[in-house]
Parts: sequence; structure tokens; C-alpha cells
Amino acid sequence: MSDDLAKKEELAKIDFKPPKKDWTDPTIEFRKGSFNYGSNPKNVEYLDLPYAREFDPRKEDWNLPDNWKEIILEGMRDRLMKYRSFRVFMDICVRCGACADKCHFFLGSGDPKNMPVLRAELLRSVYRRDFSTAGKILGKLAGGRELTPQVLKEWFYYFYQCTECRRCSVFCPYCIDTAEITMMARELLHLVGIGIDWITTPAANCFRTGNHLGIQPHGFKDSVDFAVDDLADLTGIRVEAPVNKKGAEILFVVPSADYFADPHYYGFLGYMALFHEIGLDYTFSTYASEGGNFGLFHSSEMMKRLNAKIYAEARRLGVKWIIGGECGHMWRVLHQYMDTMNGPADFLEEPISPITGTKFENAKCTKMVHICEFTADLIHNNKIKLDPRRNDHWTVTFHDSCNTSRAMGLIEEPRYILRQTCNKFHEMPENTIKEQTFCCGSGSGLGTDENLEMRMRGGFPRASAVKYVHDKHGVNLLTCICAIDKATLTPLMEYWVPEVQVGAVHEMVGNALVMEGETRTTDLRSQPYEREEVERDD
Amino acid sequence: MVLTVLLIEKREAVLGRWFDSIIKTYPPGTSEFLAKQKDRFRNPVGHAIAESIGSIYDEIVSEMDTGELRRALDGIIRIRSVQDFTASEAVAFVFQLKTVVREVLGNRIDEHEHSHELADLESRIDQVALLAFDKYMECRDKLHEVRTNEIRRRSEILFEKVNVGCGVSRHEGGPVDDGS
Repeated sequence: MSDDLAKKEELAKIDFKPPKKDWTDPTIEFRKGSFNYGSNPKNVEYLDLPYAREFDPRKEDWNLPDNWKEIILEGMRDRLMKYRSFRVFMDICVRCGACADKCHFFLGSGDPKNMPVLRAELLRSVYRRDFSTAGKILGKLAGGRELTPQVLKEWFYYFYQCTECRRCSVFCPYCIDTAEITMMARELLHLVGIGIDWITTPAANCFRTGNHLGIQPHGFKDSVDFAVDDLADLTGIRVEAPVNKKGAEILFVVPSADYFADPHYYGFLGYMALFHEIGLDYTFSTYASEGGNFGLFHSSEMMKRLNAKIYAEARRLGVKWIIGGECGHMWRVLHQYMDTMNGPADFLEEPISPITGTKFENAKCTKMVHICEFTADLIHNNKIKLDPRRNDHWTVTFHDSCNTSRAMGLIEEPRYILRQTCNKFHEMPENTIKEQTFCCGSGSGLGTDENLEMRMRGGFPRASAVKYVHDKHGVNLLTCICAIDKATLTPLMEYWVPEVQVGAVHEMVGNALVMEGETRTTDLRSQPYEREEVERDD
Repeated sequence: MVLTVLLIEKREAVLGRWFDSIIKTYPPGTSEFLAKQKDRFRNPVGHAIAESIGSIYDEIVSEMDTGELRRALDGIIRIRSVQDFTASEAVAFVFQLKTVVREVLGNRIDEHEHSHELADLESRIDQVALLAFDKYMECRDKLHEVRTNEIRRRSEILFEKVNVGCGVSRHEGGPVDDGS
């Protein structure tokens, strides 16, 4: 036996407690499964960003430019001047701790640096030392920390463990938007060429072809045609799905996952069935072929560059207004930034539903209406025929996407749709939904397979609430209205609550929708309806 | 008094101390939170630990039903399998029960009177530890499966499109009827 083995009496003295560590110590261990790979330099260059290079977070040397510190501090100074909110957020926190236990990453990982207050402190400590009078004089005594390469690595580790979900902000008595602190930290890191590939490459693709996957116009058209064929097989009805149709009344923008990924695709079929049934004059655009905007997770400039295509395409195609699909952060960009960033959209008309005559006054500035607002209005005005029994094989709950609930207040419309299209709907506990919803744990570009363990930790609070309604009510479908949710809640459920699948709200609409002349025997997933009498009754 | 009766009588004290020893494997700020917050949705990890160890303990002092033990272990090991723990750190809490029992029962344990029962108890805890190793491996395997499935899902519909282009129907798995 090896001499290294512990003796019997030593074995009894194993201390299970982790070593005590001062929070100011920035040492990080990049463990497999809990961080994202660095950006591909090819795409950093494509976006005209500085210091493109191979970058592996696990390596000691990050090949930082010689004057990296100067660049970061100068970048911080610029942003403090440019954004009053950033300066206020750096100064105003009293460390009351109201946010501390609200972050899903803290709850799931148990890492205190994932308490939003402490995560922000990683940046704030540098601000304090280099930009506040007290910090300049008293240094560490005033809570200041020197910016070192290790601190930079710590920023990279923890600011890519924040999904910018803004749950903590709901509880902050000073309304500090922690997502904006993360956004600033990421912007600063990009100044020295530090970013993650799952943000940089989709952003580069989006800049080139209009969507994160780099699907070119003919590929997009093929995808739409494929879905039209599929819907014809499922319903017996061949719908029209116009692409780049000039003079259409409405431009319809969806996240790209809707037309290629499972389970998003069933919601995409649902949209197309619905638009056919109400005879909507709409068009897709091959360039505005992505609602999502990974620029939001990169920098304000990138967000603006990528978002610009939506209005540019609306102008080119000559539409009157825009409908947006089931996407999460598209709606944060749209609701909080688009109007001042790429607007005013004064060449478009104030949206009025051509079917019900409802004026969407909330979209007066942006001219863009959420598909759930549009559909809820159709149902409310009895403009479509629904048979909710066609969803009886599903016992449904609804996950509020962070961005639609907290960034635009879209709370009731999806619930109204689900109650009209499904007979079995159950809410998760109140402190896990609506404005207090728990993030999927993979938003803001963190949904990579290399980061899976961290995502499972971050998604645990959400999964725990789903498990509760699964055990109590037999819930077997978790619906949501965000493409990242649909992609990442699926593996999350597979690990934590494998009995529960993930679906789109408009999948439920597409299933329940009674179409004129249809010959249907299955739902949009090709699953037979639960009760044969549904068909016979019709 | 037989040991089992003592263990049932002291259930809450043992579980309390066992819970404390488990949450101390987290950093100090976190362990305080895990202990204090009682709302299960505001503290899902603390709740899962408390619920799991209660069920595990009840099985150890009674039937040692393997199915029930696996279910109970799942609640805590599934979490520790994805947290910042090594394999041994993730399952070590089971062995800690031995120490906890001795600490709580103290001098009420008579080494002579209870020697057989103590040996039996420790053997039961060892069996639970073995099940915990299995559960840990199951969770890690699942994690890899989840990762593979995620990658597969990303391209599934693309492959279906290619197949349809080659004349294979998506819904029937047979050749596409092109109507001719």
C-alpha cells in the first residue's frame, strides 16, 4: 500500500468544511463543466473587435495586451461618464443583502460570489479603488481592490455566471439593475479581447446572414417550405408562408431556433396555422430571420448593430407594423432599448389588428407587437375556433421567461391563451413565477454544452418548482415563450424532472385551433389525440 | 434500551446535527442561508437536503428498502453531483452519520450492550454509502447523456429535412408520397 494513504486515526479527522477564504481573494479554478470556451478569433475579427486571439480560460497566460490595465480602466471611465445608471449602481448599493439569496446561481451552486451583491462587488471594488476619493486614499480599507490579471479572470468567471435575468433587481430597494452591471463588466472584458464563443460566433453569423446560425436566404426559405409541407401532412391544409413579400401588412420576426430546433418548431407550425386561419397578410424576412440578439450579451454597440436589421427590413419590405414571435431577450432589447437605439420607427404605422380592430397602444413607439398579445386579442374577440380537448394529453404549466415578464410585463396574455387552449393548466408556486420567475439558468449566452454543470446548478430552482407541480398535479408539459428557454429547459428537465417535456404556447394554440377543411388525427408532434371522441365530435 | 428505540427517540436531534454537518460542506455565508431559510422554493437545496436525509434515516432505522433509499438519495446526490464537489465529497455525508449518531447519543450508547446493534447500524450506513456511489455515477452518466442529447436535438430537424429531400417521409418513416 502506498505511504500516501491516510492512517486510520487520520481518517476520522477529515474536515469536510471548505477552507475559509476572504472574498477579496480572486483565485479561480476553472473546472470542466462550469465555464464557457473563449471566442473564436476568426469571428472576433469579423466583428472588427480588438485583440482577436486564441484564448483558453484554463491556461495561466491569457495573452493580454501589454496595456490591458490602462484599457480596462479607461473603458470604465468612459462608461461611467456615458451611463449615469452605471455610476449610480456603483455608488448606491448599501449591501443590505435583499438580493443575496435571489439569484438562481447562488441558490443552485451555493457559491457566495453568486450573490448578486457580491458579484457586483467584484467590479465595484475596482471602481472604488480607482475612481472614488475614499478608495484612492484608503485603498483596501475603503473596500478597494487592485485590478490584476487574476481579478480579470474572476470577472470572466462570475460575470458569465450571471444570466442577466434581473430577478435580483426586483428585490433591490434601490432598483439596481444587476444585469446592467454584468453588461458593463462584459463590455470591459471585450475591450481586451476576452469573450465567449457562444456569444461572439452567433453575433458574427447574425451580422452576416441575419440569424445566429448563419442560415442564408435560400436556407431560410427551404426551412419555411419544409414547415409548410409538414403542416400540410399534419392538417391536410397547405398554408401560404410568404418570404420577403413587399407590401405585406405585417413583418413577422421569430427567433431562428423556431424554424429548425425541437421543440420550438411545433410552435412555429402553430404560428403558421393560426395566420392561415385568420387570413393574415404577413411576410417573413430572410435578413430579419432572427428575433434573438446576442449583441445584448456582448455590448450596447453590438446590440444596436444586430437589432438595426428589423427596422431596415420593415422599411425595405414596406410593411405597416411588426409582430414578434416567442423570443425572450428580443423583447428586452425591443422594449427597453430599440426605440431610442434604432428608432424612431416613424415610417411605420401604429399597430392595429386587421382582424379585431384592436389598437395596440402599448406598441405605439416601437410598432412591434408580441405574438401572445396578438393571439390573446384574437381569442378574446372570438375570432378563432378552439378545441382545448386536443391538448388533453398535456397537463400544462407555464414558465415566465425572464425578459418577457420582468423586462416588458407580459404576464397575463400567455396564461389567458393557455387557459383557452388547454383544459389542464396549473401554476407553479407564486414566488417562482411572474415577476419572481426563476431563470432557466442558461440565458445571456451561457447555454453551451461545455457549461452544462453550471447550467444544471443555475436551473435547479426552476426545476424544483416544476417538480413540485409534476408531483402534485401530474404536470407533464412546461410551456414557455422564449427560444433559449425551449432549448435549455429541455436538458434541464431531462436531468431534474425527466417526466416533463417542454413546449411552446403557440404549439398549444396550433393543436387546439380548429381549421376550416382540416383532416387531423394527431397533434403537431404527430402524437394521436388522447380521446378519439375529439375527432368524432367534430 | 435497544439502540433502534434510541435512534427513533432521538430522530430530530440526529437529523438536525446531520443536516448541520452537510451544510457546513458549503462556504460559511451559504451554510447560514441553507439553515435559516425555510421556504422550500427560496431555498431548494436546503429543502432537498432536509427531506432526503429524513427519508434515508427512516429507512436505516427500519426496513432498509432499497427502492426507497435510492429515491431518497436521489434528492441530495443529484444536486451534489453537479455542484463543486469531487465524487468523494459528494457522498461523504453518508459516512458522517456514524459520527453524528455517536455525538448525539453520547453516553447513552453502551459499547457492550449495543455492540451488535452498533455494528449492524454501521453496516447499514455502509450499504447506504454504496447506494450513494451508484447514485452519483447514475447522475454523472445522466449528465453526459443530457449533453449528447442536447447536441443531437440541435440538428435533428435538419437531418429530417435532408431525409425528406431523399424521399423519406418525416411522419411515416417511409418514402414521401409526391402525389404522382
